Amino acid sequence: MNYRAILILITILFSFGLSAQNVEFTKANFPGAKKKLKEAKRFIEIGDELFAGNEFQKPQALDWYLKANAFNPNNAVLNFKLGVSFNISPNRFKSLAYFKKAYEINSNVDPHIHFYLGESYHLNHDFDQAITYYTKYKTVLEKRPGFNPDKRITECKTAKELVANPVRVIIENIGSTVNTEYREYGAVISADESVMLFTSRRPNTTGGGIAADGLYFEDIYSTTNQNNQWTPPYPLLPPVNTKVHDATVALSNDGQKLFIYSPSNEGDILMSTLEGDKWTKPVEAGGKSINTKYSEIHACFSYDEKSIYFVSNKPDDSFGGFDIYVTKIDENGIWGAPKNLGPTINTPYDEEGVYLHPDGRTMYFSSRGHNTMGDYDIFRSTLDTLGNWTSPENIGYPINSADKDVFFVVSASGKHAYYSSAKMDAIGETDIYRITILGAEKEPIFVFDEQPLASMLNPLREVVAEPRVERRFTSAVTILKGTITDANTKDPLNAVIVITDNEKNEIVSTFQSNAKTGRYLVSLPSGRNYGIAVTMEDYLFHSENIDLPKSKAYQEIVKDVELSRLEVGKKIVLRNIFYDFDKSTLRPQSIAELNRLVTLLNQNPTLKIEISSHTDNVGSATYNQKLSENRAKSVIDYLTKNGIKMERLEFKGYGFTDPIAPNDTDAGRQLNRRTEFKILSK
Amino acid sequence: MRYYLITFFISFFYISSAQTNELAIDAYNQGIIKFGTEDFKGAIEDFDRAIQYDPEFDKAYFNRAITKLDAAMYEEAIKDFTIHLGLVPQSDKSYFSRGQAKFQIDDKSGALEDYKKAYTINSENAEAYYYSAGIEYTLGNYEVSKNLLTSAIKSKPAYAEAYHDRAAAYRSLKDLKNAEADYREAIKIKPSFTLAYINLAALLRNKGDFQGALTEFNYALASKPNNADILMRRGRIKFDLEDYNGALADFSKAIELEPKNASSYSNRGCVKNKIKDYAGAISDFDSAIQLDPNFGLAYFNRGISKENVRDVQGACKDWREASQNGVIAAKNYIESECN
Repeated sequence: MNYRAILILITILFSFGLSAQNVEFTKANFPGAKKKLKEAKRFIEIGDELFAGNEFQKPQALDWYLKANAFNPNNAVLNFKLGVSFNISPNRFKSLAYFKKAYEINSNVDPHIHFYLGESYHLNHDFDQAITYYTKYKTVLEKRPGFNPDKRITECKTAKELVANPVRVIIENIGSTVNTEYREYGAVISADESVMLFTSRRPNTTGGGIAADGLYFEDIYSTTNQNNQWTPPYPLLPPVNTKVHDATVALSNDGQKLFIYSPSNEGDILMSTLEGDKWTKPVEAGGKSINTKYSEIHACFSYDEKSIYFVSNKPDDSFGGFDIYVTKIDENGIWGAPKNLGPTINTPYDEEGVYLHPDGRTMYFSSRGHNTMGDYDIFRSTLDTLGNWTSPENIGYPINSADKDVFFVVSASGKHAYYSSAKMDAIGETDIYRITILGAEKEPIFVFDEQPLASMLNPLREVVAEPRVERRFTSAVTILKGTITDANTKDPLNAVIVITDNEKNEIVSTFQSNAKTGRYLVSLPSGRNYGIAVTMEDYLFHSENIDLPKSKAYQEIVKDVELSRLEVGKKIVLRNIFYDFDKSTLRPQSIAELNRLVTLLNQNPTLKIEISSHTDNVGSATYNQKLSENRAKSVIDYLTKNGIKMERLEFKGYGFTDPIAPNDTDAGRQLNRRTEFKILSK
Repeated sequence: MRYYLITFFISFFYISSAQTNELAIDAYNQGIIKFGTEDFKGAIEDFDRAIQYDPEFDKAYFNRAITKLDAAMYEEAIKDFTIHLGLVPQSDKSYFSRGQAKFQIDDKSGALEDYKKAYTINSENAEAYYYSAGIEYTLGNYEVSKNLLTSAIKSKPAYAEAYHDRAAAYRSLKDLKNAEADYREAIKIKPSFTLAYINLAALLRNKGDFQGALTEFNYALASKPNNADILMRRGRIKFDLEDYNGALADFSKAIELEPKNASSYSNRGCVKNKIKDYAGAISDFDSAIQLDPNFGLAYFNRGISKENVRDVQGACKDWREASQNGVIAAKNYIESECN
């Protein structure tokens, strides 16, 4: 090797050691590769055209830039374009390598390169480096709109705190039965996690069409949980899924009502109902109260379906960007004027993905404001005793990341949550993940022999206190579910379930069981006494009473109800009729049940009935006989006062002569203290 | 303590009196010599012979009873003490010793009755008060126990054990000030009294005075640097003081000294879990379980460390095992985390 060659080699090595050289797409740099050079330049042109296009075209530039980069990986501008393209893709964290390379080749590649670098480090959770570059960007005089380094630095500081104190969760990909190489997102669940609907962009989309962004149109898929395994998903049939975009937004707790996003009219929310095994044609959700000429992009029912919380960017009454609003249904079934949730929840930045937990007092939503650790984070707020939403709390890392964290739903038990994410282990670009919430960290227990007395030869074991078990997402809700069938034929019934707050004597909510399966599910927040009535035309109604103290933790009650047709001799227990202690005075909490009886008698004007009252065996037979007669009479008095003719009514006191349970326990005695009615003739 | 008393009694009864059958005396004296060499079988045979020669030989009955007591023949010992009391009804020592035999067969009320007889006959019998107090304490009668120990101390002012046990009674009566004073008095009388240091430190720890507890363990270890039990306890205090490396060092030394002690491994596992060395913690709990396959708390703790590495299935399996081995707290976790 001659001296010249050695000198050139040293120069090359030295220059590589300092920084990479910018390699332009010129013939001089690629002698003998004329055709490939031309092709690469064409790739860049196509990419540039797409990148200059609309929001659907922009992401398609990435593939073309990657092709060009495979030919020449050392061009600063191309690397920068790749960084920007990845930055708008689902895998935003991948932008870092390209921005770094672009910056290494030419630190002046773009006036905003420091912000982009800061953002890429931020997305990769290298918060110190991110702060360094964001700080450098602060010196740039003409900042790009929306490029706010101070806010990002604050986010990085928040992120450092959250990452240092991770919440105890297990985040698992729900697996390849549901997730595919395509995008899956927008998972919504029924309160008991038995049903999941989600959005996917897979090839079997209805009509098989490709959207403007080059991906298959969105369709909605359904899967059910059987023995902790999700079954293979199937697409919902038309009219829910159409040849264009159809995306999940929210599912009611009982899985019977689905909110759907429609891109028409800048973004609207539609609703479909499961009738039997068919989803109805989607109609506008919330009457005319939700959708406007602006973008409505998300909505969710409250647990009683009396309120709809939704996200809109309509300018009136807004705190900036997308905000969360609420509309409430009145007694006539009319949805009222929407109300902004106010500055405690809404910020000058965007709020998204609102989700109301079945416990009736917890709201989850995503926000780019508050103390986010980057882009959208998920926050939680609860209703205080005055009915105001509390200051939102970041639900923490690793659920939240520096990237966009949205569409978070939590099971009624508070044990599991679902969301979609573009994680490293994703099967496709975005997958659905299940989060298991572990609750407070548990402390292991030391063991020592305690020997308090010198006189005792046998040491005593240290007494171990039982540690408390706390879930991070405590859930004070009871799920009541089951099947409603005909008592004779066992056929499922499409019955109406009315939930009443007995203390306030007001209807909390009204649901219907599924006509095909007879299944129903209602969520009952703790802290109330509920009257539950199952009614159906031509059938005797069935009533239940459920008392849930405030401290009652999550539970599921399975209650299958058999309704009997109106037939002579049939009788039912009126579980929501209450008397004052040792008296025959009806308590106000009985009114809802009594009115149900009035309605039944009005609907069936030929019906004659007997009201009977029964006691437990505490006290003398004579006393109980008298008490039961008086109590039955009180019911009769109410019925006659409300227009039922006396000739249709009989009453009888049975004292404790006709028990339905042994009288030797409190529970048995409580069952025996009851009021019944029996059909005497039709 | 009991051995001390026995030696005293037996020396006292070593006689060569002409008033008793000489053969009986010879056999009796040979029995005492054999007792001294812990040849209990030979001693009992000799006392048997002495009684054969002289069925009224009360001291032979007493010494045979004492020998049987030391040979753990409690029922037999009780019979001999009873015969002795038939011959010498006012023997507070015989009542006391029979009480000890009854205690050994878990006849606490019988033992209490005998101790009471002993101190009623001899109000200076400090041991009778002392052991009565022990039983009353285990029955939850802390006030009675405390008063009996006060009587023991009155009869025997330098009675370190009585001060120690009275401190326990004070602790149970929530009188921590007097409890602490009694522990300190016990240590003052008997500076080598390890248990007093341990219990004083436990009292200070419960009061939240971890530094004070550490000082007591340091004192105890100064004279017994290789006591694994004290090292473990000091390790726990260091853990409380968040000196996790110090705690690890103490637990490791305790393991070195007693490598077959399952508790030491489990306790060191707790420290490793705290410093997030979950793999190390699981390995220590594994060792504890290997040494004692029925060690419920080790399963319970391993479950916690497994949950910390997000192995919920493994954790649930361990909590079920812990629950089967009597750890009630494990049931809570099974209910909340494993369904």
